[in-house]
Amino acid sequence: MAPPERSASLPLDEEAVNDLYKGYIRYDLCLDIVSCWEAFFAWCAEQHPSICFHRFPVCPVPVGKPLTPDFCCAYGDKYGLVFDVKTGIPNDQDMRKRQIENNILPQLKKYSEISTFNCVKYAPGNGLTNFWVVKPKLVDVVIVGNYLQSEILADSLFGALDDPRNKDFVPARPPILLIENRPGDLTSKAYTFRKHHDPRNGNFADTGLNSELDLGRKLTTGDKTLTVLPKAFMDFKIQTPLVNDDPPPLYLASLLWTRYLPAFLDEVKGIRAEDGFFRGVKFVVTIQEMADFVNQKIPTGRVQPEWIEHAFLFCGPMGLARKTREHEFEIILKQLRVQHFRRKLGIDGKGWDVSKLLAALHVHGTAQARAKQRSKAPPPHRVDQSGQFSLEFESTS
Amino acid sequence: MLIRCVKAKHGIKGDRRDTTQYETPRSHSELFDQAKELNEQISNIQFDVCSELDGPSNLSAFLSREGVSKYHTGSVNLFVHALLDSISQTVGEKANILSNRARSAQAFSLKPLEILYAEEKFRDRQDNDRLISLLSQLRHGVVSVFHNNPYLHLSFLDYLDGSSFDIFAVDSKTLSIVPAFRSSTVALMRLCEAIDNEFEDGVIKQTTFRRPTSSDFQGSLDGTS
Repeated sequence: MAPPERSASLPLDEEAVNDLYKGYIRYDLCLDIVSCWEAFFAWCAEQHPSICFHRFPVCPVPVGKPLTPDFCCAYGDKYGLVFDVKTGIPNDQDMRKRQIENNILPQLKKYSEISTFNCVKYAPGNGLTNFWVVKPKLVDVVIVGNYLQSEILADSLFGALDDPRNKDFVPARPPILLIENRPGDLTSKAYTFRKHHDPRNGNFADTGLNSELDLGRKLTTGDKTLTVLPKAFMDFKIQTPLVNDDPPPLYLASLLWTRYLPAFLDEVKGIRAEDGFFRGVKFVVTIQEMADFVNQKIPTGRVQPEWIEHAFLFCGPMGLARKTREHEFEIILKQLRVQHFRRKLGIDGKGWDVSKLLAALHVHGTAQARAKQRSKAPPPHRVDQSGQFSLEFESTS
Repeated sequence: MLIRCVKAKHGIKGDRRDTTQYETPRSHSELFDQAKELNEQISNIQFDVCSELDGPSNLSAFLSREGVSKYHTGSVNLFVHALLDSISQTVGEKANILSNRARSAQAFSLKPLEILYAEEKFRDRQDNDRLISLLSQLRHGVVSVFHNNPYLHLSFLDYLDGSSFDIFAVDSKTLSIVPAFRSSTVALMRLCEAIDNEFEDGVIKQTTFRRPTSSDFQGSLDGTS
């Protein structure tokens, strides 16, 4: 078989591509975890209307800016749960210690002080209704970790809480550490959640509030788990494809270029795909305009203009977006022909999709731009009128 | 009335696209039963309509999976009323299922479709990869894979009209297709046809936003799973 054509003058830094892709996978895992719990609490809310859930909480605190935990749930004014998903703890011990002490403990302490929950009430039958402000008398913070890091996370977290030097960050109630788990052979498609066995782990206090679905009685330390099948959470994931945290630019760029930008052109600019916009169209959009559009499409969405800006800047080196002025970008919507670019970048292998392509184009474009700056030599590819470097897009007309 | 198959093109699966000319005419039911047994699909047939297997032909015609039909000889009346009317009805029913599936921005407005298979089609990552590979090769669209192990979640954007779909292999026998904000009937037909060609014909069913039920959680919370 002939080797793939390599038109790029610089070898692709595949490690950099993989690093970007790992962030994409980690964010999707976080999205799955949040969707699992949204599905669970949606079911609970149908049995107990006082239960409410919020996927994009912004919680006021007595001092400082409002907090934005990953998601939260309230059992009326009796009990509240603030969730934080931690799927990417550093494996390096020193880095992990620093992250726990400098970031996680202060965050934990602040979350434990949340007293006002702005939740969304699920109504039986027709789902989402409206925002509901509740002030639970008791609040627990739940940390959800990945099974691959369950032991190092538990040791580091509870070890840091035991350390007298961190006494200012110890919350009134110990946090509850849940572990997202999957069977070792990966044959089951389900997510399972169990409480970590560490004796210092906190306890759910929802007994009697959720009848047979009480987490306090059912998720005792041991082998009891909450299992969530994809069919239970998939519609929640599709409906809300983001979580309450700045997504990796690669993740948001993939969503924008394959879902929201075509819809934006169609609905806002009145340009339809049948008119040929995938053959190439340029248009200008502000990050606020785009954030507003995406938020219209996501129930209770809280997509921030900065998230959009990060995604657009990420696509700059590949010539898909160009900053025209503060908060404004020129966007190019074109067919992303994965196989074509894969050959152009000299990448072998199967399973390439838009996300991997965008990661590779970003790494390649960034490297080319740096090389160009260093050498001042003319680049091997087209330089468009904006002066930005871009790979030639295959004509599809 | 009997449909006697004269010639058939088999093997949409894989690279096989063998044309079989039958020396001994056989009934269409025998032909399709045999194809199912061999895990093959028939892309088109040239056939005679007759009252006995070895009797004279009342109509000679051609029909493909895509609905292309050609009249060769015989009764025009039979061709129009027995064949074209039946094709029209089948296509109409399918179009009804696939039309008006776009979601709105309102919560819980998803209008998913499910393709149900009699056998397990999505057991492991290899099966997932097969679907990704199939959709990646379609020149009229592009695939974004969000999750591939152990369950599959991807999205497919159709460049011809901007329709897009989330696709989930939710269990080994079910593929869920969830149209996004734009979903045309013809784009869904293109997508379903491509999937059918690789994974055999499944039964397409309309569903709604799936609200979790007790069985999704109860058993596991009782520690029985």
